[in-house]
Amino acid sequence: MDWGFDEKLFSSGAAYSDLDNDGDLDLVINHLNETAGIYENTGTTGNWLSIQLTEKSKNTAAIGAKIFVQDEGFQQFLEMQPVRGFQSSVSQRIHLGLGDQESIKSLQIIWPDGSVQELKDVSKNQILTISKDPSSPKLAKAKKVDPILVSKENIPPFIPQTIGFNDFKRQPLMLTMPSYISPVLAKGDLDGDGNPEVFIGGTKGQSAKIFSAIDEQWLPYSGFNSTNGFTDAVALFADFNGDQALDLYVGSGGYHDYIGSDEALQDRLYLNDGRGKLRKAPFPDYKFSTGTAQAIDINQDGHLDLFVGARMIPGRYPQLPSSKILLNNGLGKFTDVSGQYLPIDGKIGLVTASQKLDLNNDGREDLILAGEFMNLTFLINQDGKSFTDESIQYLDKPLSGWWGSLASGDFDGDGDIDLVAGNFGLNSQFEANDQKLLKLYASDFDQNGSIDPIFECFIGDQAYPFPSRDELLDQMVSMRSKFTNYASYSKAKITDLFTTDELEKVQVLTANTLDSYYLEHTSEGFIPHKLPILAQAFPIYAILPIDLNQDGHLDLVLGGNQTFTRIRIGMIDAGLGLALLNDGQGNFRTLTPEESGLKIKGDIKSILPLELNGKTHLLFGINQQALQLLEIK
Amino acid sequence: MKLSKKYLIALFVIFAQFTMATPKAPIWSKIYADQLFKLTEVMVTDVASPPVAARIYAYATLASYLTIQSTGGKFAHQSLLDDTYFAQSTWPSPERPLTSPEFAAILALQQVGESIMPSGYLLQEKRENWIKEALKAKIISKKELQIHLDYSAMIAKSVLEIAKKDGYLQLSTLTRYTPATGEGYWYPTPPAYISAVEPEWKTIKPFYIQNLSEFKPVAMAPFDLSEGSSFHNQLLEVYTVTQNLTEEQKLIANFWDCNPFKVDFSGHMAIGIKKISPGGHWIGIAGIAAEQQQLSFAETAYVHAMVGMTLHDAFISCWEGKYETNRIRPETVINQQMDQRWRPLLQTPPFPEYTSGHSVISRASAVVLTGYFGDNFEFVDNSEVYFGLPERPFKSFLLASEEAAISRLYGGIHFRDAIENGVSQGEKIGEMIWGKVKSEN
Repeated sequence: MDWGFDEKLFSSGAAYSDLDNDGDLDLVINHLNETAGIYENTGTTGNWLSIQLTEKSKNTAAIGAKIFVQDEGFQQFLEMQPVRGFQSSVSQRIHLGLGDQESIKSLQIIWPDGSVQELKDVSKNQILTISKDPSSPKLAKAKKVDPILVSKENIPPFIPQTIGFNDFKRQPLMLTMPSYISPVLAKGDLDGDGNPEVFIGGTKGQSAKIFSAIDEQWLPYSGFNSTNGFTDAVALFADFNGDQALDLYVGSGGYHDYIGSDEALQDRLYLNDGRGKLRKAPFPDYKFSTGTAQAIDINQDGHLDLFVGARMIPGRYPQLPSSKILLNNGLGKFTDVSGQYLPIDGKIGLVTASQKLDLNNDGREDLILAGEFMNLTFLINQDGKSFTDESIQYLDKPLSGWWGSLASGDFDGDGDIDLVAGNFGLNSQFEANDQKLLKLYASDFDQNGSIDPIFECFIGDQAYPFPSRDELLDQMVSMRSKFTNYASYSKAKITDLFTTDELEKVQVLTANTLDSYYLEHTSEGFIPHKLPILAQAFPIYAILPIDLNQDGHLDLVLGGNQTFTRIRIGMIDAGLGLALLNDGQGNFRTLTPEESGLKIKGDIKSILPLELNGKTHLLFGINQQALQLLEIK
Repeated sequence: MKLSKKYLIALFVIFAQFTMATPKAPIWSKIYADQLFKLTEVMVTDVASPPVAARIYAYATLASYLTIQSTGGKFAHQSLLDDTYFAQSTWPSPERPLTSPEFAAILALQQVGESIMPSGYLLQEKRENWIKEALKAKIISKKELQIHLDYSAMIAKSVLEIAKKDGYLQLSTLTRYTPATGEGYWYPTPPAYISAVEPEWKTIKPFYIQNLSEFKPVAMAPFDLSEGSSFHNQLLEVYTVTQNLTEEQKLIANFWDCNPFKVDFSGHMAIGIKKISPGGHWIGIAGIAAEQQQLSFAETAYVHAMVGMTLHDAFISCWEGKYETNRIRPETVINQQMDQRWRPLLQTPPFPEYTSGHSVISRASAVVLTGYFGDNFEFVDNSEVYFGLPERPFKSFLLASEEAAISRLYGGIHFRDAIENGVSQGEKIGEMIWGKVKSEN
């Protein structure tokens, strides 16, 4: 199509308006260091209608009004909302294209105050000024519903403090900041008094705390002490030494300025002295940023062992760390047997989430793992002696995503346990599918001792490196002579950055989906079903399966958002906490915030169900914010 | 005399000119300066920051010096390498003697420049032109060309091996800078608010300085806005001096601006105006002095390498101090506390204030140049003519360096103690280096 724009210019703003009142929209475009351009629309047009709304109020142009236009097989909806960006506005006249329509049967206006006005049989090709008829009836207000969750004020007195470390200053090419994972939540009755103790994880600069929930009060629990160097990534209350008292395992994660061998990366075991006091116990010494863990009796000796999923090595993202299998001798003494139990030396991926489940009904619990740019991985417990990756038995085709969470439950009521997998979601400029894989290349390309992660994504039909030229050249000296100007980088593909030889030695992680799924467990494995579209609006980091409306079906509460991303990706804060109601067959219906009562702004990291005063409550852990407590009505 | 005889004599004279003409001896000092300036042009194109530019000059001039030294050249003073950290390294020798070590030395200079600068490829053409020129002027014969090409490549490679291990490649592995919070700490300055330049330059290995702490400047006046404090007095000085600049002072400020990237805004449009760095200015002065004294190639190469390597060490020392103190710039304090509309004459460069780079490196360069050429060496500095500023005569290198230092106060970008203590810092460095090389052969 020859639009008629011949000059090469730098333009940064445009507005449309029918300047010559001939029924088509003309353009005004501002040009840098040039006079503005005014462009007349000279093309052939169909029929049209131009509407100027007026009302007798301070909002004289009725900004916010909605117009519905209807005829046989013809329907349009327009809003009077002329703002199109910073200090910019288009014409305040609403312009409709009518094509072949000679007239419109019904033109309905919903004025900003909710009153409704209708014009019938409006003819084509005219500029119509419509004043608000003060006698117009108002739209009936939507019936008020009672929300399922009600906010409570008595939250644990845990005030998050932030040290404000910018992970991108350490590895400038990372996509999100792995330091911001707190607070992790866990519960257990440590002193056997019938009241739950709640563990609230800390972060570097703020130590974790335990509170007892007694009646309506949150009382600091004296039987636990941590220090403020750790970033707590996962907490499990379980009886590790068989003395009927709950112990505590805390996985240390985070990124900050932790070096690879930092003491703060040491996972911790606290054994209950029998009277509720948690004492730090010896634990295997391995150092990585922990992502997830499962207490699971691997070798069928009646003692709870541990699977520890390694998330990353601080400073060396995305180099694969080695996840761990630790066997418990029954007294809370753990031995690292990862080499023997895990495939690929434990380097399964950048693991962020896990579930334990007996998948093959052999009486032994197996492991399901998810992580960043990692396949959903099904590790089958082989007779208590090792785990093998049998993912192909459980999924028709690999699902590799930017996973942040996993949960399990029988959602379709058929007796087997299904899965829910939380992914990065669709609310970013990235898309991923089998034809358009997201790729994360990593290598010490310039051999200076640091790992250079280069992310590649599709723009249209072609895959391009994601970092900008400035970002890439800041990180890699060798690129400065390769791309001496922006034009040369603008079309560069990954093969223009690196030679085939260099690319051969590279670690490549991929993702073929960014959707979050409900995975239905059948006799043939798991069938993935995408969660409803609003559940794809934010990265999901917390999933709680729970019967919200007491209909016997397991519903879902989802939490997420990601504030700590690159400026180019943008803060993904669309989530408010999302409730999905299950019809009992694994079909999920999204509840609005009014229906669910969930209006939590912030990065939700954890959701903990609690019985307080005989009623089920949900405690939400939100990064850098006070916790929120909601009661299920 | 009869007309015909006059014509005959004239004809004879003309004829004699043609047959008895001998090839002119190359003016090596001028050739060297011209060729080095081509590297300067690339540095200006790439917007090499002041410390980075000094490093490039250091390695490029080192290569040409090494070429002469390794082919048996003799110098008036001590070897520049003896007190560096690579004094024990061995350097390649050519298979047989070179007919023109000078030719090879220029090639080595160019080849280091080509490898070490992002837009170094621009020098390929210059190198080809140099070969053509040299062949035409019979500096080198076609037969001898290859051995010179090979040898200069070997020397360039050895120098680049050192450069590869001096810490520069590791800079991108270090955590990026975040301005310190609190009163008196540096923050990016208008109009472009450029991020701090080379905050980890202290991790680069200096050639001569063995212990950076020995060359730390004395303590600066602590940040203190109360009347009568040293800091406050200096703050007022910047404010008042800049409101009352004479035409001469304005010229001085601009003459020593040496800002590789000055950003001009017009509405939403920003243009970067490129210029040589402070180090580039003193390399230019070195070239002027060498040409004025009609130095041989060997001595020209010596002087340039001496200045280049001095610049490199001086910048490392100066930058260490800047990022240890992270001192706020006059512009930030004045705008916050005194006068929102005040602007310095020069654009505040994007790094902390204490000590003043020009003060340190100009003094250090002037000291070694004075050592070599002697004090009261009068010269005309035309190194800024290319950038639109006039020539400027100086009675000595030291006086030029003093003017460079005080120019920063006129420009409104430094406090006096950063200037005065910077000069002392540079003096100490220059003295140390000259002390090591000064004994005559």
